[in-house]
Amino acid sequence: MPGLSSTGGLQKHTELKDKEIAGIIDHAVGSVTPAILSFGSWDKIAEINVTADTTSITINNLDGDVDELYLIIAFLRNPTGSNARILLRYNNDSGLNYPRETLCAWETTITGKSDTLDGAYFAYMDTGAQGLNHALLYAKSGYKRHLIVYHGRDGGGAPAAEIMWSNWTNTTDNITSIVVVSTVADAIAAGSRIFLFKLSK
Amino acid sequence: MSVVKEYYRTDKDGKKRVQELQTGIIVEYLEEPSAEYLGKLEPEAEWQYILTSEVTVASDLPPTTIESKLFRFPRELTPIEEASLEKATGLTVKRKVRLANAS
Repeated sequence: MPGLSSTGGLQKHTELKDKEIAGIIDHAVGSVTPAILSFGSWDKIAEINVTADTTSITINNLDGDVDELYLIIAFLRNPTGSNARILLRYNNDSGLNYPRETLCAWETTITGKSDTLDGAYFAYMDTGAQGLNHALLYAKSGYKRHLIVYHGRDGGGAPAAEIMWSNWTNTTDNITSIVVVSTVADAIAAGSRIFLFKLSK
Repeated sequence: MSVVKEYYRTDKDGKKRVQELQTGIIVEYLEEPSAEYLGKLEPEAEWQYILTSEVTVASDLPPTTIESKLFRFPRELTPIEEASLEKATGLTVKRKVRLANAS
């Protein structure tokens, strides 16, 4: 393969070892932090384990302007008798300020939807459903804050897969909190988990 | 991820379990929503109708779906309206579902 030589890796290792001996790099136990292991990609800043059925979860002390980009992974359960939307509200803004587009494959039926909601569209959970979400939020102010979600669910009604886009029409306020809210009481059930990562610097 | 501190607090939304994480993030779980909060959660109703046309190609195989369409209505259709929908589309109602909050 071009650019690689059989001795290149050995030279690199020797350079690093020299720096370690010189005290420039400290490989002592305990000096390896999650930030180093993330290879400059994502830092996990919150791990949420839902142990009791919950209607909303608020994640405080964020700084969207500094963090810029968030990765949100969520496993969700809705054992209630009602279907529920799961929305993200930035700074607890519950106004109709979140335009969205969705593309949903529901069994063999494909549908699209375009409207405005009172939260960024994060998941749709049929009664009894379990689902997985993978979302990216560009959180820096000065622009609309865009959210892209890949979502799949099963176990309730028909299995479904969705791609969703939302934005927050507010372009000025720094995002300091995200509220994960259900439109039905207790539809974020025990066993649900949410992992929040920020872009590491 | 370590929880540094955990406690409960109550505000107008209801009773919340609060966790302070080692990263400085504070997470609040609304476990017992207040009546005021629940009053804002009025679900919107929607009915979804899936209509299909199917063909049976062999007796030992399940029917094969030729075409499938999804329709949404703000209320349940009457039998006459359902028949009208079937006639207009040339398909048959396979399933209808009431959704509290439609996707």
